[in-house]
Amino acid sequence: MPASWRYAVSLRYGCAGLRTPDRNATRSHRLCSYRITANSRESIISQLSADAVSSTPSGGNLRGLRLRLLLVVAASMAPAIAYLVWMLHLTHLDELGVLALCALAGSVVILLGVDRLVMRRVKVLSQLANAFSQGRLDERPVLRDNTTELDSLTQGLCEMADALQKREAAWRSAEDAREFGERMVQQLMDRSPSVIFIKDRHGRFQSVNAAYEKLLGRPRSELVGKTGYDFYPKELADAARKNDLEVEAAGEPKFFEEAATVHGELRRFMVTKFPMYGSDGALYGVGGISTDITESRKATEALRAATERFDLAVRGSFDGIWDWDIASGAVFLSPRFKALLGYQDHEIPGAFETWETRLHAEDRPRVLAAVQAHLEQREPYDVEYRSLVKDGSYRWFRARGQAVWDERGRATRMAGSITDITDYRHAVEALRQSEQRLEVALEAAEVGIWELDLETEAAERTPRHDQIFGYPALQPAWSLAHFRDHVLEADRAMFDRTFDRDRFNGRFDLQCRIRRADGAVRWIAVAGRILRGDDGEAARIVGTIADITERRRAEERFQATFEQAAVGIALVGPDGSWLRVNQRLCDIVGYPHNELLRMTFQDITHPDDLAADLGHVRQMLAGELQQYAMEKRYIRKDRSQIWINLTVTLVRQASGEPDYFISVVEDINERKQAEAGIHELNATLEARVRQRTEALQAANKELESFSYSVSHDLRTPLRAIDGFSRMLEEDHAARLGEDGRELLSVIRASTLNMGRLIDDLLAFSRAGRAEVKVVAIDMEELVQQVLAELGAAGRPMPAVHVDALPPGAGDPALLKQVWQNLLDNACKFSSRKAQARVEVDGEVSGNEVIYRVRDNGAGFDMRYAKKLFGVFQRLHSADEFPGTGVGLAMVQRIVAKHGGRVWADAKPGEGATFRFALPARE
Amino acid sequence: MGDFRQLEVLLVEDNATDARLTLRALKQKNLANSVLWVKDGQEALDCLFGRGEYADVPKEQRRFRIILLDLKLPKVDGIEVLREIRGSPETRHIPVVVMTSSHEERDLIDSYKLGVNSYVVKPIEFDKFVDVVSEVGLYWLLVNRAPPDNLGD
Repeated sequence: MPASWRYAVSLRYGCAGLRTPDRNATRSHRLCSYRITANSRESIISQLSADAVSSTPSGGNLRGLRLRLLLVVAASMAPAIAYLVWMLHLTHLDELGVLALCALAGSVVILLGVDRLVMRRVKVLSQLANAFSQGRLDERPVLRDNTTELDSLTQGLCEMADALQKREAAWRSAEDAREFGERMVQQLMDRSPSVIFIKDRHGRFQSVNAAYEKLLGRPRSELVGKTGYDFYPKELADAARKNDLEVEAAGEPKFFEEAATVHGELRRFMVTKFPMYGSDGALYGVGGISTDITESRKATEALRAATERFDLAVRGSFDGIWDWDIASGAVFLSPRFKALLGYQDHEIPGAFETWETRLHAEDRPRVLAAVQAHLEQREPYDVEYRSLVKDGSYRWFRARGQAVWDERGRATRMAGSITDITDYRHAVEALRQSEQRLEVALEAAEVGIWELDLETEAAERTPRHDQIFGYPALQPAWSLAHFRDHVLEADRAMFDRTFDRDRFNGRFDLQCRIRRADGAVRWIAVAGRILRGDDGEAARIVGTIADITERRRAEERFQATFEQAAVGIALVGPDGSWLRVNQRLCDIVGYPHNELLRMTFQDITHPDDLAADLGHVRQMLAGELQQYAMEKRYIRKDRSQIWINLTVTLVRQASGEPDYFISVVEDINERKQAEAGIHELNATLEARVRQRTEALQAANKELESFSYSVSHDLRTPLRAIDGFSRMLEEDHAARLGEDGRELLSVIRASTLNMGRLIDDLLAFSRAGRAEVKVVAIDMEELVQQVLAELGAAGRPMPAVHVDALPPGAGDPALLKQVWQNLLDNACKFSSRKAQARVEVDGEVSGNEVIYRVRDNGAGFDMRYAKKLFGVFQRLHSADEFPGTGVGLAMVQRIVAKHGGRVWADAKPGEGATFRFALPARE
Repeated sequence: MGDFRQLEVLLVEDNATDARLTLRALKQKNLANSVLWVKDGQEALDCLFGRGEYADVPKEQRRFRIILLDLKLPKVDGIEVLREIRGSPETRHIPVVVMTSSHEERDLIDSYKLGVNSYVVKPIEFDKFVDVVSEVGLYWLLVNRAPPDNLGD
């Protein structure tokens, strides 16, 4: 049993002893487990005390011990006694009874001995243990001897208490020192404005300070054991972790700039990270102290940006810098200054003259005066002047400067800059000119300009404005009220309404009538745009005014024309909707005005005509057509069709966008119906022409067979008459006698005459039917041929003179007949003249070739000239000159068939001249 | 001359008076003995080709040295007759003289197209008529040399 005590004590001691190396552990370890260690130390002490109490036998326990000892002895003795009693009972009751009693007595003696030897010492030991358990380690028992094991035990216990007392004293002093250090460290951490943390090798926070808690707004308990990944975006956590590992690998502190999001805001930290080791010297993790540098970084950035801007401004400045030390007269001109004048830095000296001599003569006095004024009256120096530059031209500069005055008020130094404002001046000039042009243009357009101050209602105007109101010159003052007074009473309400409504809308447009100063009533158009002040309130209206009386009249005339036009007129939107239609159009399509305006032209166009119309519209919108006209059908409201002729033009906006179409619609229904009739007639005409032609051809054929028959059948009997007359004469001459032969000769003469008549008639008929085949003809040759044939006929020929004849064109066979007839006639009618003479000549006259046959024969009275070319018409009797009266008729017919003409000139007894003209060939 | 040739002239003429005038003209020149006068185109063809009523007439008696042909004929007109004459190997070599009153160019052209040997317009004046007919007869029967008999065979 004492052995088990020792074991228990040494076990608990060992436990406390196990903690001891902890106190020697690294400082970092102690930092991180500071509180834990402190807690565990106290609990270990209290536990140790409690164990000592429970494991040390108390006084009560000692009494129990004694009782238990007695019971053990009694129990060990009881079987022997019981056996003895049982044996006694079985065999030798008496003997055994004695033996039992002896045994019982012996037991009592043993019991008493034990109590005397053991129990007293146990009691001492118990008391001692009890004292130790109550922390009284300095208590010591009085030992009378040291004979028993229990005595030795007591002795050992006392020695142990001594040792314990010593160790505790040492321990307590070390603990006090450590506690102080830890408190300081704690304060260092928690009072530091910097964020401090310790992470283990896995990056888990093992310790964080109050600043960190504050920063993240979370209690320490929520931070410990977590990693950066639990609080920050991955890339930031990655960066921080990378730094951790770098420090761990390097084994020495490093500085980093890390970013972290705090309450959604990115903040920058300067972090010092250092490795931390455990008590065993092994790497434990990383500690860090970080400072929020966001604000200072921002300030730095801003400073840097400002610096950069400044640098840039300086570097990129187009300004030339000058610095004039008035006292010494030294002048510094920056390279840029010189460059603005077109020079390299070294080309011109930095001198007052360099600047002054280059000033434009017109500007110099003014500029120098400005310098003077600044130096003496301290008026701001800000002038614009022209300066001669290297290439010989003048450029505009703006110069600004500031002088420094000494205590006596004398300028000692003046410095400033120059800016090349040539382009600006040009732009200003261009703008001025542009404004001037606009003014001229508006003036030319007879447009007045006004600007109305909405607050004071006073208006500035151009003279044209007032002229429009009938004032020859600009009035001294003008206000909205003036304007309103001029507005015709009837229009005033409308004007007020429009003005009040639109003055806030940004734009303002109206037309109204005014009574001019001279009493005349005019229409005007006023347009304005509202200009807003800085507060966004409408402040002024700027606008134009124009007298549109003439335009209105034109419009009214147009309106009248539009409405009273005999044709339908419409304005049609690009989508085909009717924008404006006149009454005539409504009548044509049979729709009421307002109903039509809700429709499109597509709605009422005949489906068969729509595609063609839309095709035109597309072309026109595409700019391929300027105008188009087409005939098409509308479907009237009563579903009947009506043919119309549509003419469309497109009006474009100034921007070129299609605005609207002007369509002119003409009712051509009647014409169409007439056309249909004509069309039908045309269709049948061909058939009728064919019929006629056929009839004509038949008639011709008939005529042909008629003349064929005539030539055969009329001549045959004549031949019979002549032949048999002749036979009669020959065979029966004797019986006929002189008279009979005379009669027969008349018969035969008539027969021959009849034959000639028939021949001529047939020839005439043939000439009429003949087809003219035009070829070039040598007329001279033809004439000679005809003359030769005439001569060959054996008749007396007059003298014929043939001049050189121009060649002609015609049908040789037909023209030959012409010459035959004319020459035959000439010969015939001149045959009675003693000096018969026939002349043939010709000439080209204009488009004609005229041939002439002149004779000095019988001639004729021109009164009968009309009858000359008629068939069977003769101006002479057959007795005078033989003939049938067909020759000239045939001549005329043939010449006419050639497109020519024939005419004659004659005098009775003096001869005749026949001319025929043929169209000249080419 | 006429002894060994009974028939020498075939006169195709519908008009009796014209035929008579023609025969008289030929007679004046002693050329009328061997004239066969037929009155229409059909008969002329029958005669030439031994058809109809001429079917039994021996071939030798239907051989002519000259055919005087009027154009305006009953039944078959002169142009058609000419075409058949020229269309047959038997007759195409026989000289044909068209004697007509017609001045029609069409007839002239048609006739020459069909290979007429002469085209004569009969004058109305009898003396001239006699001159023309006799000249034709004299020329074709006396001046002109006829082709051999076996030409058509």
